[in-house]
This record gives sequence, C-alpha cells and structure tokens, in this order.
Amino acid sequence: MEEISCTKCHTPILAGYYNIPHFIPCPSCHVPIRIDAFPALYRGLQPGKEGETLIDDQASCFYHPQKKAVIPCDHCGRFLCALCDVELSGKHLCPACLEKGKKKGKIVNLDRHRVLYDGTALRVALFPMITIWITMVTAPIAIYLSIRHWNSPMSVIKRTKVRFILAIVISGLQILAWATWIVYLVSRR
Amino acid sequence: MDAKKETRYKRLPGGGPRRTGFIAVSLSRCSLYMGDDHILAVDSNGFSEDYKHFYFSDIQAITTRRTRRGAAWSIALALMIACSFVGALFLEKEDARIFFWVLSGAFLVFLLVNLFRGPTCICHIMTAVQEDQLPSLNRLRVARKVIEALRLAIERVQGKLGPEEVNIDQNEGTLHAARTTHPLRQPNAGGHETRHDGGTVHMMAFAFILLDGILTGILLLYHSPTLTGVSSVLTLIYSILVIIALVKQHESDLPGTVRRTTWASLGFICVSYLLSYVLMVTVLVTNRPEKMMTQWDIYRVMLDLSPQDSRLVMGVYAFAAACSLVLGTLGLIRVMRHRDDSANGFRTDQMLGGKART
Repeated sequence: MEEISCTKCHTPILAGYYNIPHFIPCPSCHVPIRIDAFPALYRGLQPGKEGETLIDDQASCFYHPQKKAVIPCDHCGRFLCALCDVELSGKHLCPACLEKGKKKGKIVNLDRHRVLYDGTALRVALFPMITIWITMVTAPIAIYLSIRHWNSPMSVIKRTKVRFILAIVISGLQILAWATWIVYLVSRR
Repeated sequence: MDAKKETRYKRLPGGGPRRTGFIAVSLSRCSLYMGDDHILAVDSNGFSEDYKHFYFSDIQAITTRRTRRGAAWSIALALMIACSFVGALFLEKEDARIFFWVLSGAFLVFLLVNLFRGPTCICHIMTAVQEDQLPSLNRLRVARKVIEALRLAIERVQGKLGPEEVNIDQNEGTLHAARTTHPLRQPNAGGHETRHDGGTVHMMAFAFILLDGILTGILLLYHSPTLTGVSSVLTLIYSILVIIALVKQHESDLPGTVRRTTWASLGFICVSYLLSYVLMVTVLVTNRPEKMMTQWDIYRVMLDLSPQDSRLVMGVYAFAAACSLVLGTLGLIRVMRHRDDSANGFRTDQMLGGKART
C-alpha cells in the first residue's frame, strides 16, 4: 500500500492521520503537518490496455493490422487499437499525431517550457534605459523581437500582446530620441 | 488539431519563489493555475516559463507542513528595528538620526506586511510517480484556501476517500499498535535515522557564551582594553562553536529546546556583529579617519571604547551581556538535562538487557 511520509524527515505517517482538519506532529521531527489524501493513493497503477486480436472482417488498427480497431484518432481519423489509443485531455490521439503535436508545440498540455518573447522584448526595451547609451543597440533589437515573434506561441496562460506593443512603442521612442539627437548634432555643425 | 484548443485557466491565490534554503534567492517565481482537469504550476523568470501539469485524477495527496520562516523573519525584522531605533535615539548627529528613523520605519513596514500575511508553510503535491513542492503555497492562510478549492475539484473526479480505504491499516492492526505505543509512531523504514548526540559542542558553545556574558558584565562596570580583547576572542570562539553545533544537531536526537537555543544564539551572534559594525562605523565617523590607516588601528580604537564614554556603547554592552548570560545559562541547563536523560536511558537499556544507544 502507498504511504505518505513527512516532507521534512521522510518518516512514514499512518493512514489514520490523513484528512484530519488540523495539524498533527510528525512522530520523528515533531513538525506540525497536515495530510489531505485522495482515493488515487489507494488505487494503484492502472495496467496498460492490450489490443484485441482481429476476428473476420472487423476494422483493423492502422499501426497493428492484426489488432481490432476500437476508436479513430481525433486528429487524423486513422483507426486505432486499444494499444495505440492515447487519451489526452479527453481527446483520443494516435502516437504519430501526438509526436507531431508535441514537436510543433500544438498540444498545450504537453508543453513543459516556453520562451516569453513578449516579456523578453519588453525587458530588452526597458532595462537598458538605466544606462541610456546601450538603448542605441537594444531598441532595434526589441523591435525586431516584437515583430519576429508576434505570432510565436506565447505563454500557456492566456495573455494579450500588450507587452509587444509596449516594447515597440518604447523602443520606437528611444530610436526617435537618438535620431533627434543625431540630427541636432549634425545641424549644429 | 483538436487538442490545440486552449484550456481556460483560473489563477489560484499565492505566489512565491522556488528556493531550497532559508535565504536562498531564486529568480523563478511560481504560481498555480486551475484548468478543467488539472492544476498547472508555472515557474516564470520573466523570459521563459516552465510548466508542470498535475491531473486531478492522478493526485494522491497534498501535504502541508508548518514552518518557522515567517516567525524567524519577524524576529529578524524586529531586531533590525531595535538596532535602528538604538541608532536613532543615541546618535548625536541629526542626519544619522534621521537616516536611522527612516530605516526603522522601513523595517516596521516589512514587519507589518510579514505579520499580516500570517504563518508560513511548505506544501507538497504527491502523485504515483512524483512528489513536488508547490512554492506558491507558502502562507498557511492561502494554502488552506487553495487546498479547499483543489479538494473539491479532485473529489469531483476521484470521489471521496471512503473509510473502508483508510481502514486498510486498521485491519492490519498497525494503526492500533502505533496508537498505543506512541502517537503516529511507526518503523522509520524510508526515513533518516536520528543519531545520538551528547551535545558536547553545544555545551562548549554555551559555556563560552556564558563566560563572555560574565566578562561583558564586568566590562560594564570596569573597562579594560585587555578584557575587551579577551571578550572579542571568546566571541570568535563561540561563533565558530555555534556553527559547528548547528551542523551537528542536524538529524540528531537533541531536544527541540537545545536546537532552538542554538539557533537563538546564532541570531544573537548576527545581531552582535551588526551592532559592532554600527559601533565601528560610528567610531570611524566621529574619530579622525586619517588616524586609522589599518584594520589594527581600528581594532585598537574599538578596544579603547568604554561603556562610560557613550550611551550607544553602554547600550550595546548591556544588550550583549544580558543576551549572553540568558542564552548561556539556558543552553547549558538544557544540554545538561539532555545528557542526564541520555545517561538514564543508557542505564535503563543496559538494565533491560537491550542494545544501548550508540
């Protein structure tokens, strides 16, 4: 049976003390701890599904012709056996679509890391303002990042393009200021 | 692709840095979002984000452990306020006094914010394959609120944990046996074994602290540069001993009272070093800096400082003497009690023919 341990000293804590609405002291290190346990703790790991062998004129799996098809892929429509059926967020996908979706970053739930181009562009536009001189180089970079990655996937959490817009506006103003200064210097001569 | 359909996320309260130690600083800030069928933990550093999905159907448990981080910060901030307050009251220069008033005000704001946010905790989420910390749930009030929301969502998917499932242990008799012997006690199978520590280093540290307290008390009444020099050497020795004691008490059987006194001693050492630094800066400002060319010159001037000369020095000496005497005495009593208990336990084990603790 699964058991839960104290997160500080790793001493196992008995099931009778789970889901108690107050803190209990750990038997070993005495730190107050509260455990909220759920039925999945006792469920154990589910065994993998096996594809049924094909009988007579039944539809077969695209990947395993000898196995019986049980469901079509929600993306490509290919027939899949129980072995090939991958369920993700209520959708049934074939391994190929899953792989392709992961590579292209089209399946949000498989994404583990994303670069925030909008945040990066805004920071590139803002931070160098402390030194002033660096903005001569960073302002065009910020504009390039904003335009280049305007349509790139952003955070998984829905956010607006306001950072891109701010980066473009701030960098545009910086370039304008530099241009004005250069024109002023040239006109003085 | 259908799976591309964006999941609607609802931001859960809380947020905090992912760190490993007491003052470890991390640029990555963690926050939690609730999706249709999972929780999303987002670690963001402003330039990129890392995601962890915890599906409601997979979550086995959420553990909440209370910590003393908030209390420690409150004590540290209160000490900072006290130090700044001493500076604001006793310094002669108007500019310096204004600076210390502003400083104590700033620390007071931090202290109030810390107190308002409530006690601290660490939360972990457990699935069949991993156990991960949820750094965003670092305050008890927020953690309770979020866990309640998660409980509803998880129970909607998994159902409620029935008593027949929890009673698996009771059927095996382990729970009953454990309850009759020791609350929650069961064999420490996967955990770390606690090792026996007689507390020799602790005793030495507390003895030196007590000795220094007595010496500082004498210095309050009778000032001597030689005694001040001896006191500073003692401070250095017990500072090292306290650090060794803190390392040694980790996963040892030393009682919580001894551990807390040792941590308090470390806090006192930090504050006394801070006060010495304030004194040194004051000496540098008030004396002619051109006279003090080397560290040795500064040290000599510091040795010549008499509590009778200034209220600030008097205050620092009185604080150091009081704290040293209290901590030293308290620590020594507690360590000696622990040693007595250990010796009694050892004798009892021998009398019962059991294995003595090693």
